[in-house]
Parts: sequence; C-alpha cells; structure tokens
Amino acid sequence: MKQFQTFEKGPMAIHVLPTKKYVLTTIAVRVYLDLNEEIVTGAAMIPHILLQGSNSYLNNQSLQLTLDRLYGAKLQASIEKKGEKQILGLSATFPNPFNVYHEKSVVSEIIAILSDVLFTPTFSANSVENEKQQHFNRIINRLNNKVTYSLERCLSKITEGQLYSLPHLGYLQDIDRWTSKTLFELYNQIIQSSPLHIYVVGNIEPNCVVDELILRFEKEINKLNESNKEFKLEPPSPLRISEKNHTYEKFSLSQLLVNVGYGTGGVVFSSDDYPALVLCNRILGGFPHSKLFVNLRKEYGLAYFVSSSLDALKGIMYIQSSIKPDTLEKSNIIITEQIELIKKGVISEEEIELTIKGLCNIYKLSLDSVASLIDFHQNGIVSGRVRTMEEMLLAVQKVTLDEIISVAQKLEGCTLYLLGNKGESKDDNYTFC
Amino acid sequence: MIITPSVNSININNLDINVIQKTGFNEVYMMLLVKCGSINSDLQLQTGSKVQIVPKGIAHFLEHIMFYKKDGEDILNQFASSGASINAFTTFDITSYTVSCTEEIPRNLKTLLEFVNNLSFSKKIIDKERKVIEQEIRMSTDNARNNGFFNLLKQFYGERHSLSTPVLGTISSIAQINETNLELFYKAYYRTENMKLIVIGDIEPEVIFNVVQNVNIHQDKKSVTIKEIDNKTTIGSPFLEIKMPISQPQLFWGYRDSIESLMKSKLLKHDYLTKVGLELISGKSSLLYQNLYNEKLIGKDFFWSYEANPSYAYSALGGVSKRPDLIINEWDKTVQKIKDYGLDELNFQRARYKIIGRVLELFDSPSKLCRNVAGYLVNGLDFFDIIPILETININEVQNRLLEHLTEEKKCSFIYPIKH
Repeated sequence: MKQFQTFEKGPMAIHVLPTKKYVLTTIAVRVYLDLNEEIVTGAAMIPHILLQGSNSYLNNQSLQLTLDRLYGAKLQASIEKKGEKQILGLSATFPNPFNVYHEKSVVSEIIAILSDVLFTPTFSANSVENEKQQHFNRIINRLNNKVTYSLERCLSKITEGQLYSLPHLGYLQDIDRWTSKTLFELYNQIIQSSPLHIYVVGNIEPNCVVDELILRFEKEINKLNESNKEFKLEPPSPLRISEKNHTYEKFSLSQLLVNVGYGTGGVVFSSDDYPALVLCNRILGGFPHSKLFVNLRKEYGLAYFVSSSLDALKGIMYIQSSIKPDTLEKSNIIITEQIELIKKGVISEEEIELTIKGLCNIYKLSLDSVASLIDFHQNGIVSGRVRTMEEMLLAVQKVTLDEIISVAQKLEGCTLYLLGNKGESKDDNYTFC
Repeated sequence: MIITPSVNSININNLDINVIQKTGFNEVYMMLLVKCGSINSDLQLQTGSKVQIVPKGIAHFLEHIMFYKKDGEDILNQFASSGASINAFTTFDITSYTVSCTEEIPRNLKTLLEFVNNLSFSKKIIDKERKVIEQEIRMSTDNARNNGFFNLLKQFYGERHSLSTPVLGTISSIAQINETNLELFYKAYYRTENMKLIVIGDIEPEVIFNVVQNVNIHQDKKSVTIKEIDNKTTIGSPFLEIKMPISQPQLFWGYRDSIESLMKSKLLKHDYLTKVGLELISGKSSLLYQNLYNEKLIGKDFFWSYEANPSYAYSALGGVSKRPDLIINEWDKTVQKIKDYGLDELNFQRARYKIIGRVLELFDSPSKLCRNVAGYLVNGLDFFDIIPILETININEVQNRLLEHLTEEKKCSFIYPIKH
C-alpha cells in the first residue's frame, strides 16, 4: 500500500493516494483552527452554512440535486476536535469515473462544487437563522446518546479550565450571539488565516487532480489572502493531572454509565513510547481477551459493554461501562484492580501476544478504510509527527513487557464520572482509583 | 455501465457458499448465517415425545451460548490467536456469526464452521449469559429510537406478533429460556441446509471451497417439527404515544404492505421500486424534506427506510422534531399531491441515480456488503441483481408501486420528552 503523497502550496496541503481499490473516490477538505471559547460555537456552524447556498447553487436543494445526478455523490459537513484544534470539514464521496459512465469528468465536477461552496458561500440571513436552529438541535440531541454524552462530560471534567475542555460544537447559549453578518466575518477570517488540508483517495491521476485543485483553489485563496503568514500548527500540550475527582449526575436511566479517565503522564501520539501506550490500553480493554472484558463481563457478568480507549493527542486514557446501579462498588473494585495488575506487570505472554495480533489486524483493516486513513493522517498533522499504519504495525510488534509496565506506571490522576441512577448507596465518597 | 465484483457460488455438503472477490483489500470477512431470528419464536417444537414452546428472544440467547466450548471456555481466544475477531448478531430472520481477519483464513474458517455446528452448554453458562443479556436489554430500553421503532411495529403487526418484540426478548421472556428449549431450537434450525456461508475479500474461491470440503460436521438427523402457535397479525391503533427522558420529541411513521401473494422473483423489484419512490418524495433533495428543514421542523437525522421480505414488508420514516403533528400534516399533503398529480421525470431520475449511488457505496466495505448480500440471500434473492433492476425501471412502475403502498393505513408512533 502506498502512502499519501503531499503537495504544498501556500496555506494549502494536498494529500493524494491513488488506488484502484475503491468503487468510490473521496475528496475531503479540512480547515484547522485553534480552539477558542469566543468563536467555537460560530465556527461549528460554518461547514453546515456553506452547504446552504453559494454562487452557483442558490440553496441546499439545488446543490443536493446536482449531487444526486452525479450518481448520488455525497457532500457532508463535519466538525471535529483533535488536541487543541477545532477542525471544520467538508467531505465528498462519489462513484469512481471508471465505474460509471458520465458525460463530464465526475472528479472535475466535484472539485468545482467544492470550490464553489468553500469560497463563494452566500450566508443569506434566512439560511443562517435556519442553521442556528439546526445547530441548537445538534447540541441538545447529543443528550439522546447517553454513552457519548457521558464520555464528553468526563473528558471535559478531566481537562477543566483548559482549551481542550471546550465542546467541539460549542455552547447552546452562544448560538444567538451570532448573526449572518458576524458569521460571514468569522468565515472570512478563518478562510484567510487557517491551514487548509485536502485529501484525495481513489482511482485518479494524482498530477491531474493536484493541478486542478491548485488551479481552482489557489486563485480563490489569493483573492482572500493578503498576508504571507506561516501556516504551521502548534502541537497540543499534553495533559498533566494529579488530583482525583468524582462527579455524579442523576439521570433517569435503568443502567448506570461509568466513565473513568486517567492522564497518560505526558505520553502522547508523537511520543516514542506511544506504541507501548497503545498496547497497555488494549491489554486493559477493547478486545474480548482484555482484562476488563474477561473480568467484568465474562467472570462476573456485571456489564454487557466495557471498553478502554485513548485520546492520544491530549494524553488521556478512559474506560467506559454500563452497569446495574447496585453493582457500582463491585465494578469499581474490579476496574481499579485491572489497572493495578498492569502496573505490577501481571500480564501473561498470551495476553501480550493476543493484543499484538489483534492490533495488527486493526491496523491492516484501517488500511482498507478511507475514513480511517484520513483520520490517522490528521492525528499526525495535529501532533506534529505523521505516523503511518505500516509503521504502527511494525512498532507494536516490538513493544516489550517492561515498556508496557513503565508506560502504565505513568498513568496519573483519576476522574470518575457517573451518569444515571445510583439508587441507595451507603457512601457517596468511594475510595476509587 | 456499472462494474461490480465477481461472485462464485457453489453448494458443498449441503452448504451454500458464496465467495465475492475484492481485489486489494486486506480484510477477509466471513459470515456463516443461520436462517432463524426473532420471528422464530412463540413456536411449538417437537421431537419424539419432547414438546417445547420457545419464548421470545431465544434466537439471540442461543447466539450468546454458541460462543462456549465443552470445557466452559469461550471461543474468542481461538480467533484472537491470529488477530481475528469474531462477532455475531441476530435480526428478525437471521442469526449470523462473522469473522473479520487478515491472516490464516483457512484456519479461521474451519474454527467458525466447527463451533457453529457444535452446541455445548451448561446451566451455569445459561444463567451467566442471562445476566449479561439482561444488561443488554436494559441498555436498549434506555434508547428512545429503539422504543419508537418497535412501537411502530406493534401498530403494524399487533402486540403479540413476534416482529413487535425487540430481538433480545424481554426480561420476563428470557427468564423462560432453559437447556431443553435451547437444545430443541438449535436442532430445529442449525442445520447446514438452513445455513449459508459468505466470504468477501482478496481470496481465491478454491481456498474456501477446500476448507468446507474437509470440515467434519456431525448433525443430528432426527427432525424437529415446528408448529406456529399464534403469530397472526392483528391491527394496532393508528396512533401511539409514549414519554421518555429525551431532549426533543421523536416521531416514526410508516405503512405496512400486505405482500403475501408476492412472488419471490418479483420481490427485489418491488423492494427497489418502493425505495426509489420513498427517496423521491422524502429524500434530502425532495420538496418535503427541504420545506421541513427550512421550517426548522426536522434535522439531518430525518430518515426513510423500507424492509421487504417474503413474510413482511413495511416502510418507516422519522426523526427528531419539536412538532411531530406538523410533520404528519405536511406528509399527508405530499401524499395527496402525488395522488392528484403524480411524480415528475426529473425527480425520478435523480432519485434513481441516488439509490444506485447508495448501493455502489456498499462495495467499499466488506462487512456492509456482506450484511446486505446476506439479507437478500436468505430470501433467495441476489444482491447483484439490484443495479441491473435500477438501470431498467421507469417512472410509471415507481408511481404505481408508491400509490399502492401509500393507500395502506398510516401508523404513527410518537415519543415526547419528560423531565429527567
């Protein structure tokens, strides 16, 4: 498998991966901003507003009709948070020109559409008002998925007072501070000063696509961009925490959602011991042979789901589970015990071997998924160290038991966040972590 | 001309095998499916003098139990040793066991075939899994979307129908599951002639065929008679409303088709005529969607869906909205307009192209492709016939089908928020 080839031009970086593997071709645009409390809410609305009208497309319906006729091409807006960056995205996926017959080049048409919505949006008062309401719904509807909601709350609790704790969609109460005029100003400011990364994956001629993108985008960027600014990204500052805390939010649920977060003691995506951290996290949870699954689910039947994950850009490891409220105490003890076991090196050779094999499988599977390839590359952009899946495949196989123990011993602080109905509990202050 | 991957089909030792080649992919995705699911409940099973009534949720319960070996250990590590992952899921009509791997394909396939064809369990394992499934049921009862959807099915098929109960069953129905009814259920449905194997990946079909040829599968030849007790469709009320701790109301509505008389060969076309029709009137480019979106009544989560099967078929639409009543009003007006003025050609073409795009999209994910191929295969249909059908259908066929569907009685299921 080949890697992304990168072409840079001013604030623009184009990452191209030509491959005959897929039926669909992807062109994805990513704009990187520093998380900022003042603009986080406004910025989060912008990708969606871009799809509501531009120079060539009067409104979303005319845009959508054009896309439908290109064999159901998709153009989707996205907002992500990675490290201390808020990332605004537009992703187009469309059938490969080698699979369907079309009178014009589908790739050229898609590039033209992207350029139109990205550089000539109308920001009409009507559509902005509408998107404000949609954004309101987007934020409150996150409450409907209790698992992701409780995780977000836990992560913002761990990073309280830091930029990272800002929610990627912003705040409900800030939506009405924005008008079509101020949002348009914000849009101009963002497009003039932010690094722009473009990914192209599919059965394409790299040079043709890059030339076409530069031709279309450069003149628009030059029109907007007067200053010759540096477009280098600052990597996030790793989380350092020492205190333990505990939050309980009462909610009418039949299950209790348990979230536990740890700082990784400064080990992040760009660190040399990142592969050891990946292994440590997966020995703990995420595989059916992982310690949490084996004990909490298989041995004691206390939970249907239990996982352990990493936010390696900021340096957080978090555990999630959903349990019966009256088993909180027992579940807590089991979870904490598993982490202590790893710190002490109570890990069998089989556990390490299965975890390495499982991870290799995951990296190989990720090589099949365009979304994963782009996401992983973005992690590299944000952290300042681009890693490839192939590199990770080799790196995890070389990790030793001692390296796992040493990375586990760096785990620090501990935040417990409970969502649900705890019921009658003897003691509110668990000796947890 | 649309190019799709090639398929190799063969029957070896009573097992139907389909191998779909995807050049360049690392993942090999294998599915062994058993043609039984949540609709196969409330049945009377009999072998010799043994008679058992099987409770709701049994197919899913058995899926959990299948993971255990004779010694009480589970099967997971056997796959993990080559980095493979095993998963399983149960739907209305399928129980499937899937393996995703990148290495040691023959060994993983052999393990998959052997464990699904061997039942071993104890009372201790059943009781332990019952606890786990109880957690799973509780998690899904906290999910509003799930509740709204099953309420709609209750309105289509009546309270007692097996389609109306979640696939997992209920806490009280799974309490009735025991060694005897699990074993009988296994014997009734887990037979190679009632299974299908699908393998997708960059792999030579002969490799797969060879493994199946050489696996020893012992099956109890004693037959089990299956008798339906009471699964008749009753008519539910047109409106149903519940309250849950959610941020905004959610609504679901749809129509049940009576397609008992529909021939198998026509089912696929019937399915896609309806889908193109629903996309045309309620997809993201439709007037209805755009108006509701601009009126701030719906968001991007708004959806339409259509399920067609030889024994059931229904549409479901829905989403989150502050005013479910206004959505239904607008919907009724749209339906009336189609009855009065019919569909227009330009919109028909864009809907048809869009559905072609949605089908093409599946080819880039082995697991999604497999699930779709399986869903059709189990009803004797071929997923790869869809694109040729979509290339030939015309507007009149879509219009007739849509009008036929929309003359059925409309059912609405609403969920309103309560304070939490």
